[in-house]
Amino acid sequence: MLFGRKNKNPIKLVDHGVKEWKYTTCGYCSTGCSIEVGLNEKGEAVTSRGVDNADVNRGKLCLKGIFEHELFRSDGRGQVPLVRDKRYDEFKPASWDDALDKVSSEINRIQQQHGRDAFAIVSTGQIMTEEFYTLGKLARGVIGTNNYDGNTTLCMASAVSGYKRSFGSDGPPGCYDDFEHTECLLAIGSNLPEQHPIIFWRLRQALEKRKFPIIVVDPRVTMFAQMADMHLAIKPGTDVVLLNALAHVILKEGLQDQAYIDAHTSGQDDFMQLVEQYDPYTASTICGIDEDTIRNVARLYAKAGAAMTIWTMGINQSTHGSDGVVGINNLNLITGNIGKPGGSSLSITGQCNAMGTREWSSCSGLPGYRALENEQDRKDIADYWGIDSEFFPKKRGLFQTDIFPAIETGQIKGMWLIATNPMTSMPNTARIRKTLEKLDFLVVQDAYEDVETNEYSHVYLPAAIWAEKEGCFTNTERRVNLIRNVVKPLAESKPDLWIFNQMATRFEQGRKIKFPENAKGVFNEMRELSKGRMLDYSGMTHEKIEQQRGIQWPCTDEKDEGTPRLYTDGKFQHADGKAKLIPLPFVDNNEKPDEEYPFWLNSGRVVEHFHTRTRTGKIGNLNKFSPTPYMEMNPDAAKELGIEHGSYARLISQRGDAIVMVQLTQRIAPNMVFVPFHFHECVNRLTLGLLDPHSRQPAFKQAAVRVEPASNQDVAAVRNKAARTY
Amino acid sequence: MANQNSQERLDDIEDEFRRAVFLAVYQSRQQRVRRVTAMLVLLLKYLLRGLIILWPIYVVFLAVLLFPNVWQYLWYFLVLLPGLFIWIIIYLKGARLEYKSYVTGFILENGFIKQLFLQ
Amino acid sequence: MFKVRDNEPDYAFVPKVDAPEKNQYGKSIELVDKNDPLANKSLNINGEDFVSDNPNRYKQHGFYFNADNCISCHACESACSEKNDLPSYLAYRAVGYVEGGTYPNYTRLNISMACNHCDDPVCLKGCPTRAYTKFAEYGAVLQDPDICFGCGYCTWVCPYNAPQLDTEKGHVHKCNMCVDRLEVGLKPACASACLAGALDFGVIETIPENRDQLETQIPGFPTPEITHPNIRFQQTRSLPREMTRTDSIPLRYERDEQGTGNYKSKVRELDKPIEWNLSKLRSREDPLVIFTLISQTVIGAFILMFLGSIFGEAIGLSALSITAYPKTYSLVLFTLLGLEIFALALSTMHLGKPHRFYRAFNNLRYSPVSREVAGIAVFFNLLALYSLLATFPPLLTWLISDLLVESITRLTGWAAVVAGPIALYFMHKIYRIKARPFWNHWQVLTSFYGNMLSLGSMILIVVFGAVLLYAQQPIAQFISILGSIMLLGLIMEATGLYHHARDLHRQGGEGAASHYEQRTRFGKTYVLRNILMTLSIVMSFTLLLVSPEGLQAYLLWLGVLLLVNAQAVIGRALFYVLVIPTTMPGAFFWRNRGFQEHARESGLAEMHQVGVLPETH
Repeated sequence: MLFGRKNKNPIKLVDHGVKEWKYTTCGYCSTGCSIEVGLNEKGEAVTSRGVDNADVNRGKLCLKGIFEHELFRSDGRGQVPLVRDKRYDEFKPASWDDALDKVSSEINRIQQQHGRDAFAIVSTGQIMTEEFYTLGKLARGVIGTNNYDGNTTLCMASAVSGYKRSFGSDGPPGCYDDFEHTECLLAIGSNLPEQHPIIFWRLRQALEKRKFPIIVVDPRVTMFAQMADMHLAIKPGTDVVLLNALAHVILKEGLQDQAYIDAHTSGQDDFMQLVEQYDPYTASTICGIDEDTIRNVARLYAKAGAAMTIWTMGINQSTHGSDGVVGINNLNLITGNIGKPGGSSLSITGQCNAMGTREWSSCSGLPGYRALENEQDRKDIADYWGIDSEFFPKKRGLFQTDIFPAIETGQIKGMWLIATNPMTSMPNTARIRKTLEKLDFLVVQDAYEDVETNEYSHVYLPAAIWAEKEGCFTNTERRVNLIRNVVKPLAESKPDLWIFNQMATRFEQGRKIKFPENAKGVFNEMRELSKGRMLDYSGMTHEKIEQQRGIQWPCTDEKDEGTPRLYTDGKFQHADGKAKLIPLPFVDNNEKPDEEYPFWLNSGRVVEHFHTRTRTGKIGNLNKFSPTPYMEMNPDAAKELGIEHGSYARLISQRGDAIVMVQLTQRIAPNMVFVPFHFHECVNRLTLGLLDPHSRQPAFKQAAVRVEPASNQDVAAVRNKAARTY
Repeated sequence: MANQNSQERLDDIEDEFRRAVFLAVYQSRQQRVRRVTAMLVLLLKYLLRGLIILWPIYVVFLAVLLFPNVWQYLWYFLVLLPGLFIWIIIYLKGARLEYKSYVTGFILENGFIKQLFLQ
Repeated sequence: MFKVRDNEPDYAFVPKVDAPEKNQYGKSIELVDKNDPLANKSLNINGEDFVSDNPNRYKQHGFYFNADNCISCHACESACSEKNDLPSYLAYRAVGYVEGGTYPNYTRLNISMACNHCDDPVCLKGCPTRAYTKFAEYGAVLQDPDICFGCGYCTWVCPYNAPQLDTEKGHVHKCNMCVDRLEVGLKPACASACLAGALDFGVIETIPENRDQLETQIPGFPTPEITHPNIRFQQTRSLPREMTRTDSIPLRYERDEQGTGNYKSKVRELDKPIEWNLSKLRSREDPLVIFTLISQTVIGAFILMFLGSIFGEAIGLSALSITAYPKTYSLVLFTLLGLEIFALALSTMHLGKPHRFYRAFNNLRYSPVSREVAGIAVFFNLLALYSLLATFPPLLTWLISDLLVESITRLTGWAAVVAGPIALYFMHKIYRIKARPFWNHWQVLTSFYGNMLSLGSMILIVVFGAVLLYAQQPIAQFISILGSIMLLGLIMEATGLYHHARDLHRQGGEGAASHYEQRTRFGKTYVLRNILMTLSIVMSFTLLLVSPEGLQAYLLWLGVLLLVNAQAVIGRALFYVLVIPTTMPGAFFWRNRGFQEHARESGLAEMHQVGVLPETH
């Protein structure tokens, strides 16, 4: 050494002592990174690393993935089933048998007294595909309630609805590889660097090889907006107008791919007639983007050899979410950008297995993209499961966001929540509280005992988390990937598959149906049911999936590998084989700022947290980046109200109020505030959550609030601290 | 400590039988005496380390003892006490920490005094 | 050995490229010749005997940060924290940002910073225990937590906030350049984890693929002249002329319009209210407030008493001669000794690991801390020897002649008189840190010497004044002489402080920001201190002119001394608490001093996952 000690002491560096690596897929967002979890001598999970030859993440992990091994023994995990008679009694520990017996008896009682649909089931997007399928079997084939949905209604329902309306079926058509081929990227309401950092990295890799223009549409100046070639600071809730205007310019200037439109779409006449009304000037007065920019973007998009659009919650979480997705599909259809490398309308999914529930859970239909409305589908599934097809309803029931009002009005008496936390994630917290109070019986099945919804539950079932069980997830680009079981479930917690199977045995109809014991068995059923269909799993096995580090469906037996893109032949899933161009008239029904509530309330996410923080809120190295609720506010607006940087402020809307810490920054417009939604008793106390007519997804990003400095900073600090236990 | 890697630590032994054998030696009279000695050795080590600051106190103590009319010099000793008090805490803490690292849970072999001292 | 994955992707390996011979500061990039005896030695990582065959092993390596691309995704921070098993309250690498512009023309510049393994590592030079080593291998500056005793001086001197003082464990630790990964050809964990093509790593002065700049600075980064850090930047995007921080430090960065276009740090007046904030005067450095004040008092009192005992007769200080009041003389000597022992004990308790105190002498060659400790130790020993010999001559007279003993006693006294101020000089050098402009001013010396005189004379006035009164002797002249020495000390201190305030204001940057904090956060306290100082000076002057006698004089001077004492304590506390180092900009929660304080006050820090330790002391 050059200076310092002459005799070297050993350099001590941390060695985790990994003896074995196990293959898994990330359980947070739908990027679907492959993670290897390292186990030490004692079999404890001590480290995580990206799988080097996985196509999705190629050895990289984002911060949540880096610490994912800390989940297994994080705070607040449920250890034993808990039961109580009234929701205000103390919970008492119970055996699994007793708890499950109580649940099944309550379900039976409620269904007998009030009808089959009086018991609702709301699940999630974060359990394994095999578990979704099993739950679907249980919900549709055994318990038989038609009020069965998932929390994907809060994030992806608009994308699903849009895809179904345009293409005739769900199923994102593109893949991450499209970045390598595209000549123009339009990102609407997507903040890749914070929400899907690894997908951003894939984009960055493509850019390093070949620069192409990026257009970001977002009311805030996110890091994505900052690095984009064009940032369109759009007025909230007006995406459809912009999309119509872009289509208008393309059609007006003859830049469309008329051959593609004629060959593969239907409805162009009505569509073009509607779009005629949305000239750039009219559009600019509504959406706030000037007409020159609209023209520019339209020309850039249409003239590109291949152009793709990505979107996430900015489009989905609005009253025009479904229309927004259809608008994007329209844009891509008229420019011939579907099913070719670099040309796609790719919905970036939220939860790690939202795709799995969309494909297999039977919430909106029947497993394998089948529909309750289709008589043949009902018959096929009923035969496969061995029940009478008359047992199925002839159309889907209520969405999650309609189930809660149904509880409110007394039509639904009981509910089973699986791996979701509506106390924090549903809009209008006060209303949700009152709603949950009305339930005769609420079961919460979750890995975490301290999930806030447990405040109102009668039975709590502790579930195993992530790689404490085995199964598959499907990611944004339709890649089915595997999670190997890494460690045993904590204490008495059990895999969701086991819980569903056990529950099925407690119903007469359930005992008649085959419920395979392990994930492999369930996967085989899925392979059989998907053969020949769009989401063909028949060429996959767990081993092959692990070997190939994930396989994109469809994967038929003959091909033995996945399919990167859908609709490459221009054949869609509507009866006539064509995609629909759907006219989108715009009626502004957003709750807009007015004199009394002068600010737009925008809610969203930050990279260090996931959903309602039941996981990331316990991991210090993640939580420390945003440990307490805050809002972004423009300094010029704050000055007028006397609000200081780093102080507490009170937000008030027509629903209620919330206390947040203030971060003054010019990245947000003077008439808007942005609050990350992750924190309990915060932004959803304020949101209205007006529902999209097609997808029933709430408009989390459009509401009006007013802001005032907290009258007493110390009291505000106490209130803020007391609102959450983590 | 040279023998730290080769020596077994009580906490690391999981096998019941080996534990019992270890404890039999650990709780013997010889080992207990050695552990007391070890603590004294560690205290002495710290006393010597701090000599550069505290030697005057020892000399005053000596002087107070050796010379007649002890009482008039007592004041001189008393004003030094508060500082001495804190230093003793520091020594005790250090000795206790080293005791925990190098003595607790170990069987002390011959030559342990020299090893503790030079550690 | 670190295990390379079977299909390790290319981005993870350190590229093997040609490097220039010298870096931008003129220093050779090849740190030692291959034939040097230091070369080809194992780094002895975790006791393993492995030597990499990397031909660039002895070249200085460093980070390359493309500020155009960083998205603040925290992957680099997390990869580092995970690899090094770091707790939530501490991180080796941190991402902060500066922002500017007006919506929607807003720009945020994120900056990821760990350790820059500098050419001239001030941490290494400053460390009293020699816990740092600059290795010839990769030029890595590594710190050994087993040697460190947690004084935290390295955290004071580093301009980039690289060393982290872990108050729970009691030692410092910091970025280790992932040398275990380097030895197998891999980039450090952070650079391998970057998701935006921002953070990279390689031999210094080599440009990664697709990049073209080798800047040494970006807005928010302190001047590289202090340590010649081994980090290079790319920053090509247009930035607003003024950029601000989101953490609570009152600094902004303004582009130098004429000239280089570099950004300079300036004060950011945040319209803060003027407050007392007396409770915030307490800090982790409280023991140092007491230690420095007591040491200065002791040295001052001793010098004055000793010199007074020799020369005092002529000027009316005959009370101080050894023969006048021998018991008082000895009692004062031993009280001074006792005070100094107490002060030394306190400053030792300030260490993260007080029981490792004996390591302080390890770096006399470079470290001002080592030198100060040595200086104080020398002074203390001489004072002790003098006190013992002066009080208990019989200790030696049985061995050697009385005359010789007297000479030796005198000699040690004189030696102590010389050693004391030298020790205080070293003590002030500790604070002459380039990375801490508020401290880096000669005012520290005038304050220390000024306190030496004013507080030292205070002891003598209080003790001997009382003795004289009790013996019913006149005290006017005695008190006046000592009073004027005290006044001299006060004036010295006041002059230094005045120039300090003026110079800070002029130079801008972190120094001026500290001054701004002084005028606002501690505004009323600052004004109080100034009033007390002025009052002390005026009242001393008056008393010197009026020259009262007897008990009246004693009580009046006692009043002044209380004021002097108060202003000294407040002043010293302000000195420690006000310093704004040239640290990297933080984020809104993480590395935001204001949020950390709030978390502790409001109780949020009780949850470990908030990432703030509940207590600072």
